Amino acid sequence: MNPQDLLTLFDAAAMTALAPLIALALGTLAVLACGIIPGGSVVRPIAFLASLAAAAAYCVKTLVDGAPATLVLDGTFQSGPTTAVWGLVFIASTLFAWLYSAHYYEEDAPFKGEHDVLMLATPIGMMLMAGAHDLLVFFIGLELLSIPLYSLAAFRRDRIRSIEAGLKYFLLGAFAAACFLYGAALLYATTGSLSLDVFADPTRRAVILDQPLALVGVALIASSVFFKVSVFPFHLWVPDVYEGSPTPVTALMETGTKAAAFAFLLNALAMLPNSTAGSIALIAVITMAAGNFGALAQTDVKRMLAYSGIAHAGTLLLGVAGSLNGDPARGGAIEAALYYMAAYVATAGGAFGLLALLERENKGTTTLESLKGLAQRRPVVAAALTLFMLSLGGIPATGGFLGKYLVFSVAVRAELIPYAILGVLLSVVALGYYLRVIIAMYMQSPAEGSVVPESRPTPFATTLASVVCAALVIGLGILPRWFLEVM
Amino acid sequence: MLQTYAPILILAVLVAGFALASLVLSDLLGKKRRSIGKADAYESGMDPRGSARLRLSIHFYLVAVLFILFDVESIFLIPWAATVRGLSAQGLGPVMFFEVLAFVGVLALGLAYVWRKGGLEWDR
Repeated sequence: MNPQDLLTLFDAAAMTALAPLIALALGTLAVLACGIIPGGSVVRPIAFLASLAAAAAYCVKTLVDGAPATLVLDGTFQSGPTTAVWGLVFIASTLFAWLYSAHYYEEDAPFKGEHDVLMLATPIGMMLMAGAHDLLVFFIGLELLSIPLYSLAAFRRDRIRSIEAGLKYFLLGAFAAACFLYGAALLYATTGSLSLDVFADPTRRAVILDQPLALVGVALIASSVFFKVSVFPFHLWVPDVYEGSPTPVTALMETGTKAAAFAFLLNALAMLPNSTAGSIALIAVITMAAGNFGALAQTDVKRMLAYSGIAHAGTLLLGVAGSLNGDPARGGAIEAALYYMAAYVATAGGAFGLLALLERENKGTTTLESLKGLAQRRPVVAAALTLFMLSLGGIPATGGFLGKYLVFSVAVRAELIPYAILGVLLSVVALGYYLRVIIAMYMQSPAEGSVVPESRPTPFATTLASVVCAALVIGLGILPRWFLEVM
Repeated sequence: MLQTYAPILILAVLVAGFALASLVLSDLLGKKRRSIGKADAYESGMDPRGSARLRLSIHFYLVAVLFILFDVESIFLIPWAATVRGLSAQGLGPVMFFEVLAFVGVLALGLAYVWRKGGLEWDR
């Protein structure tokens, strides 16, 4: 590249595309600086929220402008309405996790500053992943997201489960990152390019996919992305890591990371030939089975939700497989994925948030046993948790139902009908464990002699986040039009 | 079809061959003076016996992490310093200046953070 091109690289279009990322990056630095300036702990939440708000405002501006998607930064980064909606999904996911974390770490409060810096850095990585049109840009985003999450997973350093979660996530994540780089290197060796455009071109793709080395590269990249979205057979780390991590961090991993990896997966589909749709759909159905049957056996609600997250990744992967089967359905797949993840961020975010609240009262446990009789003790919390469980299970009038409907209809349109039928049947299995939570709360009373935890006043941040999550779940469920029209 | 995998096979053979040759040749050509210390397992200067769960001061990790941070900084600054003059002559001076200012600024904030938090003091 000519040195003079450096000046044109960061033109107005590039700065517009990068504005939300820059807002978040400056916010991260400001939150870090709050740790060393006098009165910083008062300014910190303001800096955090201002940075998220600025990033959200830039995303909304992109949506309102309605300009079509453009490639900037020498064709390595894509920006447009789709990435803007993804950006809002990531910001919402971070916001919910942060609100729920406000009162979660009582004894670790001195380190809340570090916690917030790490948490605010994650949406930058997610946005880079969602907009990446180049494998290396995606990799930078992936690391920018993963490295803070490794330390956040181990944040409760006085608890051995948390440290175990951090170590497991780090080791397996590093392994997945190495797989990705090796795959990218092999693709570069065969094609001389890392740009997704090269793979999107059908004639060039046919030539590329004829070479075994390139196929190995695609397989390696697919396994590392599948690891991040917890798809079978790369899902075994999920229950341990999600259970051991601090609950607000689990919410962030479950919603934000998954959304970002799926956003990239939809962009990167061009790498895979259409003939692989059947095998991807098969993997999706196996993932759903692994998640749902795994969840049935759990007695800890947090671990159960981790398995349920695997099942949801499988469901969404079925929609992704649908988009492989020819281009006409592709737009539908992106819409379905965006809707599914938006509803999922509110649903899973809220569910984990309420678990974080209950965990504080129950001295760290989130078993089904501890939920018994919750409807009498905390009727509002029980009602909200019921709503989130129904949405996770896909009951109509919630966001979760329409998300599932859209995903399955993409699969049906792509003629993956047997897989869609299997998927729907497996979703019925899922109701088994979601309803068990509701039964425990409403129809069972605590065992004789068990100590009923003292109810404590609910922190304002938790109430606010739960109300917003519940409103989004219902709003997306009964008025989906406004969301679908935005795109 | 299988022929296209030949480079991978050749690479694998070369890698395995190099490892084997290193072991065999050093065994054949090297001098052999046996002592208790040499016969022991090599553990980077640590005593290989006893519990592996030693308590090490957290300071070592802190110093290592800080070293990597500022070590990487110099890796980025050296190519900048090597190219800045030539690129400034082409009218890219302001870009080069503000680019490195942003980079060093972020690191300076990190250094200030570490300093104020007491990370640079060994005895605390």
